[in-house]
Amino acid sequence: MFAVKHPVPLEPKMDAAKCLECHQDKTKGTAVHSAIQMGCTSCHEVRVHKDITHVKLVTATPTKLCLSCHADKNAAEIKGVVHPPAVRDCQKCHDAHVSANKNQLIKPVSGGKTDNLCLTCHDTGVKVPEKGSRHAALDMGCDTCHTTHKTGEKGKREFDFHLTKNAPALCLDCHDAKDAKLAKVHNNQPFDKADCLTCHNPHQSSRPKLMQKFVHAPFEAGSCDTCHQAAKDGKVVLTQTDSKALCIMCHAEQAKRIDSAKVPHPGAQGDCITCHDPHAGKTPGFPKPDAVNVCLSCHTDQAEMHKTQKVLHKAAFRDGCATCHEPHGGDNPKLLRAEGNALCTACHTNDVKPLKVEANHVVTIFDGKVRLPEDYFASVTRLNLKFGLGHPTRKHPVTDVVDVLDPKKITKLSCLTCHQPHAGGAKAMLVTNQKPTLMFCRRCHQGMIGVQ
Amino acid sequence: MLSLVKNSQPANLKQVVAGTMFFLALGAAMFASPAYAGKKEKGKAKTEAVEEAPVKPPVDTTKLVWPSPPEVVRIRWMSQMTGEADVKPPVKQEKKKAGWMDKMAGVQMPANAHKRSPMLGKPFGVVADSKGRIYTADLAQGVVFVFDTEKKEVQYIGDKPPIQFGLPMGLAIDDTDRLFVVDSRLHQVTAIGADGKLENVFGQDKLQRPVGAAVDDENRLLYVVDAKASRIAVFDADTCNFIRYVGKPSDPMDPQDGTLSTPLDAAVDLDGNLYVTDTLNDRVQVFDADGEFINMFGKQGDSPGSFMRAKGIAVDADRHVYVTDAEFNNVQVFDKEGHFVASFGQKGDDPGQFTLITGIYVDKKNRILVADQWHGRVQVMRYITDSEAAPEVAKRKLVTDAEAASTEAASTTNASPVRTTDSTPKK
Repeated sequence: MFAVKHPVPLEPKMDAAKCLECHQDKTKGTAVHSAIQMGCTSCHEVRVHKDITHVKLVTATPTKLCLSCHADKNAAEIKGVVHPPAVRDCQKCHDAHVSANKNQLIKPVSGGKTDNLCLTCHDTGVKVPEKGSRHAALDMGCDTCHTTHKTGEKGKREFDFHLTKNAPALCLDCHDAKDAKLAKVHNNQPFDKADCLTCHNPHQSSRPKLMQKFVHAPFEAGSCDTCHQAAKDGKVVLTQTDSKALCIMCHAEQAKRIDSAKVPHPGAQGDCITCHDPHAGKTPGFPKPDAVNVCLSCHTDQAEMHKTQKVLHKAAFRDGCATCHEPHGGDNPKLLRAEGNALCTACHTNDVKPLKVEANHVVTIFDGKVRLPEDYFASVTRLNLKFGLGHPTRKHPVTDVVDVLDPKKITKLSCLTCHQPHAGGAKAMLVTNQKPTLMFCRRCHQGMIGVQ
Repeated sequence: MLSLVKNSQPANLKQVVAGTMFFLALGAAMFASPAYAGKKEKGKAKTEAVEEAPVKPPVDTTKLVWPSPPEVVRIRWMSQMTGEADVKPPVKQEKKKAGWMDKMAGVQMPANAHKRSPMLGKPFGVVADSKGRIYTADLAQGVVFVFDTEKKEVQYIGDKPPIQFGLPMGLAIDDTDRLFVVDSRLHQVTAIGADGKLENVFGQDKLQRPVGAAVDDENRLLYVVDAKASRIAVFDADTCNFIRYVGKPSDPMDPQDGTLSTPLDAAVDLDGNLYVTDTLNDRVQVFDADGEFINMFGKQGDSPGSFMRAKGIAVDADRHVYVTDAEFNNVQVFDKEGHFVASFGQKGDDPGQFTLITGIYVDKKNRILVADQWHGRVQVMRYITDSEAAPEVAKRKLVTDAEAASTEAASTTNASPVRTTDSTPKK
């Protein structure tokens, strides 16, 4: 990290003034660490052994030293999402002594790729696609919108992305809602009460005006009057009396499905806009606010799991619940897209070849009902199952097992015998939340070597 | 049939005589074997070096590099250390041509012929100091060999009182060249000053069967890996006082993070993080300087990045982690996150090959020292750092970019119908 053997012999108990004879530069700068006033030996220890002088920190790890004063930054005690370098590497961003930047940051938080501290890890706004758009506020510095150490309840955008304020208040700091030009492009609708981020990407976009990746066709065409009348008293007025009636004018097949499904989804009986954003979104179908949280607002038990569990099933908590469940009602219990192991093996076996749609850069599963990114299966664990055998060891069954001595005796065995579908306490999300070791196998395989 | 039998008897007799003659001749040859050897070499040179000349390796070691060409070279084989012959210049002795009397009576051996310098027996731990001297602990002879290539001599530590060892295994060295020798039999650590004088012997009550060691220069900590107790004892590197234990024995059925099962070696990186080969759990675990678990990598298996008998561990200047495995007899290289990068070496007797590979160390001069226990040697390799390899990588990139550009240009200039017919898949 830095030189350990001190070039000049020192006394073990020395005054800070002696250090400053050489290290004057450590005290002068725009931002100086307040702890320097406390003396060098409050953080550094002079160790003399057999005429050899070493200068070391008073604690073994630098982070522990920082936390001795900045205890509120201790990642172990913070419940929300912590900026990953703040867990262990304070010095990745901060200089312990002096710096030319605010908060003793080693680089400013604005500027180009080489100047901006944040851009050493993030690439936001660096590669903007042609014909795309870039938020001008990026040039004002990342700290205009983000406060890196701000944490709070997990799952809330303000805290997960360390925002100084939540949208739309944050956006309205710069963009005046009363501006006539701005009001005009928003068709004089009361846009200041909406969440800007449903339609706009705050950093960059492949579309003009920072529009989100997926946009509702009438909205894209600019035919607002298909759904909207002129706003009255600062409120949106639709062309139909209620929003569902408006949606089913075009999406009649979805309404039919919701009504006639063998297993109905009670949550889908209400307004479409409870779950969908009518204008745009990051994912197809524009779930509100995103493909995961759209369900979690009602399904609180899953929301709890999302917050507390260590390992999350990516299909559920990254790609969205609709990867496995049919949100508009289905034929199988729990609205699953397939029954039993067939649901899991749609992704997790080598046999299944997902359909590739070259034009849209997606692959589809469940007869085209679920669309996933082109490279999705590169990161999916795919098992080599043959005749229902082969996981976790070569001849281990993954189907119901019939006892050869008593054919009536059937041991139910499925993916869910061992795994949890949503989340778990350790890798492989085993039902007991333990690690995938022999300990777990002992639940069934008793009488093995080493079993008491 | 009969005639054949009759004829066969004299033939047998002839064979017996011939056989006797052959054994006599063989005996004579054995009797005058040195002279016989001399005769064989007669055509080449009349004088020759007989006294401890380094054995010429059977492969061209100047071309021994990893990865194999045409890749950019990152590790280059340099030399091997077995004994004095490898550091001393070869002593040339005039030797008279063997006469007929020598052939009959044999040659007289030189007076010091029985006084051969000690050869390395079973090296385990290996380190190097700031002056480039290579230290290795020899389990067979219970001493530490010090190969000094500058002074061209081999020194021995522990061959006479007050410094003596039971079974020296792990070695560690700090930035001021103080050596720590871990004694597995006497379960203690011997600290030896840069001047070669005994400083301290400690840890008897804290260690059960220590094997490996590592020094954190910055935090002034000495980590001693205790294989029997499956934990790491942390001592103050200056005062040699015991500080704490890191890790605890793991449940063999359910090894948790931060628990160890017969760890064998440790290394400290530039950030003060501790890397431990958790041998019987077939993994490497990473702890911070406070002893808190950070990361682990590796699993049991024979695929790249897996371990069977992980032994030594070292970290280089670019924070690559080197792990030796005595089952595969290779060195596996990981990046600091634990992702497998490369491996080198295999089982064998030649340079660059290992049999019972044990300790490893990367010194300040970017030399990789590997203890090859079966052959009783330390193989020295040179790691070519990222910055040293960067110009070559950049040059290659320029060439490949130029090639890509030229092929692209060629493809656009080529008549398109020809290419389309070529590229249509044949059914």
